[in-house]
Amino acid sequence: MTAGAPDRDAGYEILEHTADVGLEAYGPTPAEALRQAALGMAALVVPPDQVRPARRWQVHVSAPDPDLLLFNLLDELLYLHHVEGMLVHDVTVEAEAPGGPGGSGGAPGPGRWSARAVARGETLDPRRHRPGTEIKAVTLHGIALRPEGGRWVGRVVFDL
Amino acid sequence: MGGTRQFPLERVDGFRWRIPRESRPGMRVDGLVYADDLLIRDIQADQALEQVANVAHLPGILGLSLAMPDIHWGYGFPVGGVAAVDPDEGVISPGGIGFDCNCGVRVITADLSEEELRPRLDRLMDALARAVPTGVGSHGRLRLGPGDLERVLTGGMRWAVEAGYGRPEDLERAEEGGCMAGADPACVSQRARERGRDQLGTLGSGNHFIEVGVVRRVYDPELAGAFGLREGQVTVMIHSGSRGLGHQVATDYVRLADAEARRLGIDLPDRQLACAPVRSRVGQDYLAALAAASNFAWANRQCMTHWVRETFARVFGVSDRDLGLDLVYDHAHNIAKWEHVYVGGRQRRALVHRKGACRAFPAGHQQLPPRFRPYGQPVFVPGDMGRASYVMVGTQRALEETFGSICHGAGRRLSRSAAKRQIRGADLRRSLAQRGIAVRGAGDAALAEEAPDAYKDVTQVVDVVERAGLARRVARLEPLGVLKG
Repeated sequence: MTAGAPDRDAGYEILEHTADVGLEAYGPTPAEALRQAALGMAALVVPPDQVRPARRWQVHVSAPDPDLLLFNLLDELLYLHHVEGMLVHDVTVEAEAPGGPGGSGGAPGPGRWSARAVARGETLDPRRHRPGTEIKAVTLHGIALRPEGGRWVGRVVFDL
Repeated sequence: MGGTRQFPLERVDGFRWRIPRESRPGMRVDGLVYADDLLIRDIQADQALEQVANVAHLPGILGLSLAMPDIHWGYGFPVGGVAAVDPDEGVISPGGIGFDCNCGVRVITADLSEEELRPRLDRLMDALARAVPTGVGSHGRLRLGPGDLERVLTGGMRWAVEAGYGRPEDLERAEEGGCMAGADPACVSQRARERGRDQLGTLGSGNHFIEVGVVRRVYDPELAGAFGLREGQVTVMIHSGSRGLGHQVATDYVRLADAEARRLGIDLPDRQLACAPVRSRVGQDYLAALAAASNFAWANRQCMTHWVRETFARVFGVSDRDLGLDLVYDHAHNIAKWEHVYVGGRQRRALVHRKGACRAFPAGHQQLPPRFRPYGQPVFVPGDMGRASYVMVGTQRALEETFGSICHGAGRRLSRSAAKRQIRGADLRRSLAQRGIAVRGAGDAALAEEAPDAYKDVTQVVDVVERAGLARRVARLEPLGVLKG
């Protein structure tokens, strides 16, 4: 299994599936778990260290629950990859639980979760980048963004 | 996701295993898995059975939650799963079709023998690799003007033939005539159009391929003859789907179905089973979008067929008609269809989900085009790139037991990372070349992911389907050249 981030408080692991691939991301806050999930997805396509931070993309997503927030964020980034050729070098993420800033680890109240992300990267250049995998879609299977054992964990399965 | 928890199974006979509805609260029907003793062990190991049981939770499901012998773990529905639902009480689940709407396969025959092909095989494979865009991020050769995409979405293969990519008779040799009624481009999102616009006429990547092969063996001379297959004849098989357009349509509607299921309080063991009542707005819109995406896939396979014909003509220095290059048939293995099915011995209308499973209507079925009605529909079951593929035809028993459905291929057994760890792409390329199989298009890592060892043995799968009485073998095809994404 490959993992990202030497920082043991935040990172991701790629999980093997017969035909598809999953990942488990974690961090001290929902925002960091979202960030690690985005980096993990990016790494499946082209490792971020092979991508130059030449330009920026901004995304803004919201959802009625944190699980769907993870889904929506990754889906948005995947769309930019497919349609604009976006490759990710790094991502910063801010997330808000309904009623206030996210990350405090409590149960979300009614209302929408939201996240804003800025991705730094470049558009795919076939001369320098050889994508490892085509991710067709983000699935809802086991989709989760939740507090577990003192940190936030994100889980997602991609369709390849 | 991995693990070896044993799932409760009752053996019905040598090739049928039942998952009793009592084994999980919420199951509305039993599950039924077609497998032999060897395959059932693989199936148990990858938790696909849990998914077969999960599908049984769907409101309005009729009969049984079915699993073909090539079943493997998917997300939501297993790959190799079939489920039929009631038109009024039932739900449509986009995950029950899969993200690649109308991923499917077709076979073309050439009036060439292997001996005639061999001297030009490398040239042919090089030329095919140039003619058909493949791989991640590839762009199509077609420039669609304003309004063209709408016409593709409503016209499918019909559009392609009228635009000059094929022959009129091709339309008689495809499921739905390569054009599904009820397609509504308005139900296809802007994002799906953006993803699809540049991808018409591209193969894709992963397990998609164009395979030049040979009919190595004919098992049923009468049926083979009726389908236009002869022993020793060269064939071309195309496996591809609706590309980014279909993937986005599926994503859009999984999200919408999820919201609808939650709104209606439909309790599901897996969120990816997200569904909406067939009669709901979301359900109807999805069916219209699925038809449109399916038409895109049919147009896609048709465009590639045209370039295959052109390439053969160029390489052999004759017209494509001189080489025959007739379409045998085209059918889907990820789709939902309105059909008259048998449930408990009685016929009724139902919506059949097939995810990694093929329609296999037998001789006499009214929905078959006249050409195939006396014989039944050809079904193509591709194996891995190193071994074989089969042409089969379904039986009346399949119609009565599995809504006229059978397996779709070999089914994976190794994850992509496990395959890359165990197999070196460069070694594989060499060993295939030593066996006379030319490979193009894939890098070493991609090749390793698609290695024969990463797949079950399709002959085993086909064996089970045949011995269970669901279909009969017509011919066996073996690869000579493979173009992979």
